[in-house]
Amino acid sequence: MSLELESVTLGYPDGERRRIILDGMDLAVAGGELVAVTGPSGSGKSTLLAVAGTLTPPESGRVVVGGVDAGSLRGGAAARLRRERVGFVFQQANLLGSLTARDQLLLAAHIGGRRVRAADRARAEELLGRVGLAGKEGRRPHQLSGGERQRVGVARALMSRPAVLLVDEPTSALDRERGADVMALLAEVVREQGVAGVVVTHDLENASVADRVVALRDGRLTSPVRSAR
Amino acid sequence: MFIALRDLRFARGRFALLGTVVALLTLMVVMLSGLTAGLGAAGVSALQRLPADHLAFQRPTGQSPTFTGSSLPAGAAAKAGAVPGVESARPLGTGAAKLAWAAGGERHGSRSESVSVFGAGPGSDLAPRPTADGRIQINRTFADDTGLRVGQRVALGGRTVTVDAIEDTGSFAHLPVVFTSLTTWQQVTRAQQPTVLALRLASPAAAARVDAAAGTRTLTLAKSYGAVDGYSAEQTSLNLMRGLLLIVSALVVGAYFTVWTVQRAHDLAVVRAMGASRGYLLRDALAQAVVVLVVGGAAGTAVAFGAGSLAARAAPYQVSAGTVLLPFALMTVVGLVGSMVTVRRVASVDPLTALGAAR
Ligand SMILES: Nc1ncnc2c1ncn2[C@@H]1O[C@H](COP(=O)(O)OP(=O)(O)O)[C@@H](O)[C@H]1O
Ligand SMILES: [Mg+2]
Repeated sequence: MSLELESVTLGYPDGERRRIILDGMDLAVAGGELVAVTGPSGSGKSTLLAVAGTLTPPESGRVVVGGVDAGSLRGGAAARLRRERVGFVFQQANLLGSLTARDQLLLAAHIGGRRVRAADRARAEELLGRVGLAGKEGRRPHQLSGGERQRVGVARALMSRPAVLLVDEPTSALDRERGADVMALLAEVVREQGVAGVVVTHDLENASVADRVVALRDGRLTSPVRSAR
Repeated sequence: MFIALRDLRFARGRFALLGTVVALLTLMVVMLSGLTAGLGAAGVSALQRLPADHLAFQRPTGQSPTFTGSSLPAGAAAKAGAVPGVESARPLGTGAAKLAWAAGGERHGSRSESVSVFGAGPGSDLAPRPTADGRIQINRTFADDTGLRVGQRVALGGRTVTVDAIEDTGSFAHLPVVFTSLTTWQQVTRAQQPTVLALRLASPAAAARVDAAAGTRTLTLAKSYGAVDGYSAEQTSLNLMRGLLLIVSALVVGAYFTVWTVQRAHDLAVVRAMGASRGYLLRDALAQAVVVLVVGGAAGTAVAFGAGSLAARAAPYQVSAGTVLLPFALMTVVGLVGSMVTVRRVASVDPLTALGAAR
């Protein structure tokens, strides 16, 4: 249960030239560890998560997700890896409007192409309880507050027992207090579930709940800005 | 169908709207199908039931032969009958006349209706029963509508004849068919020669030999429907309307699902990022289209079936599997084709767009 990025390089065309976003970047996160990545807007934090979560293959370098070399995976194979080993939490909770909180989680089981089983229901129930949403399993996104939606997003990301949890600015749509709650929750579940967690945030105070804080600058992760504990 | 069913329930107002549109379009297509078949049968059902596979017309001066313009050359039947490959060649007279009779009951006086008159030789099997001079076989539906009975004396084109039998003679040029002998037919319609030869050919190749020997123009039975006045024009315009409705259906369904897919593109990206395959999303999206098309189409078909069954009592309208279930199936297929325009859109959703609201 770990995540390893080794000398990962990725650039995007920028006019006539090519802009390097990740420049031989290294990152290793152990199971049960939460790493916070900070950096200015546009520095490539979301891109880093996209590479770690096999949404974008790197131009060079290695990506190992839960022990599986993901660097060369494309299309269906990458989707399968994401389904089984990666959990994403997005900036806006990005829940589906027509699904209840419970169904958001069951969908994660269903996209694997099998029937939803009793065990899946039990896990969904347990996870929603864990993130403090017991009794609200039947609510749809519009019946939940922003903080509650983000908690559903966290529970959904954990549904498939992923090796890696990738979280992109989870507090940007929340007020300070709700944001701190969500960050605290993330730190707890990462430890409990033994998943390798990466959370992107540009709020240093929020970042302090992580085991390690790194900054993305000029395509590389600089040594810890400060140690959390 | 995990997402599809939940979307259907959640956005039921919108989908009900589309379902209603599909139902109305299906209703129109099914009704038009019944009408097309009904009018077609009124035009040619008497020809359909002839025991023949080809009809030989007088060689036309214009492009194509017509029943009204055809009068066989003298001796055509004998010449055609002698051609190798011709199993039988029987002359048939077609035309129209007024049938008049004394109305019974308290309302005295006389009634009259237009009918098609078919004349067949006494030995031929073209009429339901052997024909005889001065005797007619009338259409069963016509008999039901008019109350005419076997044995009743009536005037056909001014000539007194007796109703000999009530049979399924069919309908020709939108008039019920009355069968009689060739001689009586000639007297009633004042025609000199029979209209066509009803042929049974061992092989279609014999048709050209018949035409060479007898100076005729031979058509297959099905092609000869076009020689009935107005039949082709009527069927073509009805089928054109039906085709247009089907195209409109495909466009409406396609437009709806295009808008729907654009609106939920971000949701689709999120589900792809969660690890769903393209196939998963495509199956889900198409299943949704199928549900709307089948439910809406079934509702429209049910209403059309009810309305059609009523219409069939009073109008040339046909209710059958071919005019009810076939158009329903066609509408569903056409709707699915319409919804296919979203396939590329669904398949090309980039899961990367789920990350970062900025882009
Ligand atoms: N698909 C893409 N095509 C071109 N440029 C991109 C693409 N994705 C991201 N970028 C660029 O890469 C840079 C880093 O983006 P991103 O990873 O979203 O930054 P952050 O999340 O740190 O704000 C930005 O300048 C962005 O415009
Ligand atoms: Mg970002």
